[in-house]
Order: sequence, then structure tokens, then C-alpha cells
Amino acid sequence: MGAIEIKQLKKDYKDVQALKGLDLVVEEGQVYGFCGPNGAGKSTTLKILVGLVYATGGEASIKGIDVLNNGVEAREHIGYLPESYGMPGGDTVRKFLTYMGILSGMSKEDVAKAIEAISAEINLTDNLDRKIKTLSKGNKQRVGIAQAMIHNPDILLFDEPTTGLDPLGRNEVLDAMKAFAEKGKTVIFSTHILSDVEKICDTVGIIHEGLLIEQGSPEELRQKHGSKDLDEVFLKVASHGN
Amino acid sequence: METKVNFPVIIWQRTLNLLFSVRGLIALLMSVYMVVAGAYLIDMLMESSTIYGELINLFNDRPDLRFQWFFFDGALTKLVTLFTAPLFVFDAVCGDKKAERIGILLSRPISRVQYMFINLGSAILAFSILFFGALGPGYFAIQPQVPELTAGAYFGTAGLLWLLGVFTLCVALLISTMVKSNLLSFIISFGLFSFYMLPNTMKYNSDAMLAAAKITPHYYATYFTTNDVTAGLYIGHALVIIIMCLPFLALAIWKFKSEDL
Repeated sequence: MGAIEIKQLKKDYKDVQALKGLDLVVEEGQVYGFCGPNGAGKSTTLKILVGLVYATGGEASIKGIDVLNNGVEAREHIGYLPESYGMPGGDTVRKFLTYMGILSGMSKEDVAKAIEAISAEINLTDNLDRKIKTLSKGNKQRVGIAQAMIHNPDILLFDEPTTGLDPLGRNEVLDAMKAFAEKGKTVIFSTHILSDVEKICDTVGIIHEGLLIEQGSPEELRQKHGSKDLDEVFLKVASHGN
Repeated sequence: METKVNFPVIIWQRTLNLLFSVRGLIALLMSVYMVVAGAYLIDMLMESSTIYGELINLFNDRPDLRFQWFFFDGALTKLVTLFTAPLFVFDAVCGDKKAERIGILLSRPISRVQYMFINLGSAILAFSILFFGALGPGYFAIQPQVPELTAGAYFGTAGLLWLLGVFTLCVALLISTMVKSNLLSFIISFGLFSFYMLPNTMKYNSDAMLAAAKITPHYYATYFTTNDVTAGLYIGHALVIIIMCLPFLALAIWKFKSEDL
């Protein structure tokens, strides 16, 4: 059983078919890079897994739990970081994380312990009692990651987690995802920064116009397409897709 | 293992956030300011009338009860507190959407219906704390001046007005699911409340206004009723207001449940 299994997933918006029958399996413990150009359907897929968007057809499951019909139970196993998100700027980091932990079903005592552990892991300890609005963009992203990990989920779904960050911030986010995967957890993240994918991913899926058009390890894809890096692979595959 | 989200703790946490915020302060100041200013104004009116304290009884259609200005001030307190109710919910859904918080909130193991009840529950609790915080002690201040006033009548009326507040919250919650702008939600919520209130304030001017007032919940929460106030009447009126709340609440939940976020 895969950590995430998607079969023939479809999503129609008014005039646009965002997903045209997506098939995807992410095995447990994998770091899966979900790549594709803007508008390919990456965010829509992640939003369907989280329950923010309703699928028009197909199936999707997380750890064998049907996401489309049993979303609440499925969400017990996931931590989600949207592409863009807001946090209550007037709250301290600790207060916000405590609220998110309780909202995930944790007791206050467990949340307090989890906050200490996670903040040590992602260098957030010094900022725990600062108001969120006073933090730098990189530190806000750390808070975003912390809220996704606070309840110790088995699967992390990150939507464009490194977009807009400087190289240092990007590396820190990638390191956090890698560390999470080293604990045996599953990470799926969408991006169009392919150098990020090459750094940490076991498997890469390239989605184009609502369909998965290529999948494999970065090495496999480079060899298959005779390319020196994933950027080249992506360009070949995407132009072929067109 | 199934996760058990502690909803009372979540609702209480959110209630504290609402009360100890700019909107909480505005609600409190609105109540205090209006009550103090209203009391001062009424007191001046009383003094300028021929018989001190009798002006208010010109509008009193309960000849068996004699009202004094402090009693009227109590009624004003209720009214102002009711006006503050939408402050606690007008931006509940549209605000979370606009601030892009909704994605991370709903990625938790809670359903959309539960999310709506967290919003509504915390708004009701915040409103109730202000409302009963003002009205509870008010009874002990008013009762010595109006010996006819019983605790049952006072708190029965307060209960109906509280339900009117809940109705206002349900309407404001629906508005917040339907519009994208916080400001628009704010304007519509307060506008609707005032619109509903209009026929109620003029219900004795004409039969048409009275008929119009009877389809608003405000009519059933009014204190200056022409009918005898009995326990049965309170319960009947309470049921009418609760039934009037349900379509707005159901529509709000249906709208929010059915949309892509």
C-alpha cells in the first residue's frame, strides 16, 4: 500500500479541466518531487488530498483511507503547507503553534513538548515568543513548516515550499524535509525549481496539463532522456507533452 | 488511533482571541459608551418632562408595569449589546479566506461543519459573556426600582434577546460565507440587522408594520409586548426565534461545505 494513491483523478473548473485523470503512487518513506509548469495541476492535486478542493472524479487515498469520502480521518496523517498562507501576525509563534496543535487533537502538554522539539529541529527556538508579524520571510516559512509538523504526521504535503526564499532559506527548508524523511516519513512537495528536486528527492513526477507524463528517480530520468540535469528533462518532456 | 479534537478548548481559545482583540474592545466600548450616553440622555429627558420619570411610561403599553429610566437603560444595554454581536462573526469565513488562513486551518482533522461550529460557537460565547455580563448584575440594580419585575420575567426576556443575538450571529455567519470582502460582510450584516429592526420599531404605527414585524425575530424578542408575559409565551417565542435561525445556519453550512477553497 502506497502512502498516497491517486487513480484517474479529475477536476473540472468552470472552463478548465485542471486534472484529466491523474494516476500517482507515492511509497512510504519517499521524498517525492511533484514538478510541472504553472497551471499544470500540482496545487489542485495537493488541495484535493487535503480536502480543500473537491475532485470531479477518480479516487485518492492517504495510507489507504479514502480522501474523498473520509477526509477528516485521512487528515490525521498529513501535515500541509500551502503555497501562500497567512498566520495571525499578532500572535506569538508559540501561541499560534499551540492553537494548531490543539486543532490537530493534541493535548496542551503534548503540544508544548512538540513545539520545543520541532523548534530545536528547524532553528525556531529563539523566535518562539516573538510575534509572527515581526519575523523575516524565512522565519515565517519555518513557522509554516512547524505548524505542518506539530502533530507528528506521517506524510507532509508542501506546496511550493521554497518559492520566494533566498538560497539559505531554501536550503533550510530542504534540510527540514530531508530530516523528516530520514525518520521514515513521507514527503511530497510541488515545485518548479528542479535543482531542489535533484537535491533531496527519491522520485520525481512531472505533471503537465493535468496528467502525469513522467515519473522516476532523478538519475533514471536523466539517463532515459540523455540529459545532464532535470531542467533539460523537464523541457524535453513538457515540449513532448505539448 | 482516532484523533479526538478537543472542541471546547478550541472554542474557548478562539473566544478569548475575540474578546481580547480590537473588535472585543470596540464591542465593550460601544456598550459602555452607549449605555452611559443613553442613560445621561434619558435622565435629561426625564428631568425636562413634567413629572420626573414618567416620560418613558408614555410609550409603555404595559399599564401593569411602571418603568423608570434605569429600567429603560437596561433595555438600551440589551439593544447595544445586540448591535455588537455581528462584530464577532462578520469576518469569520471571508476573513480566513482573505488572510489565506483557511488552508492550514482545514488541513487539520476537522470537518467543514465543525469549522463552522467553532466559528459560531466562539462568537456566541464571546457575545454571551458581554451580554450576560451586562444584564446579570443589571437585574439587581433594576429590581429594587421596579418591584413588580420578577427574576423570571427579567431573565426570560434576556433569554429571548440573547436568542435574537444568536440569530444575528447566524445571519452574519451566512453573509461571511457568501462574500469575499470583510467590509462588505460587515456592512451587510449590520444593514440586515437594522433592516429587520425597522418594522419592529414602528410596529404600532400601522397594521402593515405590525404584520411585517411579525415575520422578524425581533418581534418575538421584544420586551414591550402587548401580550401577557408568561413562561409559555417565552418558550413559544424562543422556539420561533430558534426556528428562524435554522435556515440561515443551514444555508451557511451548505454554502461553505459545497465550495472549493
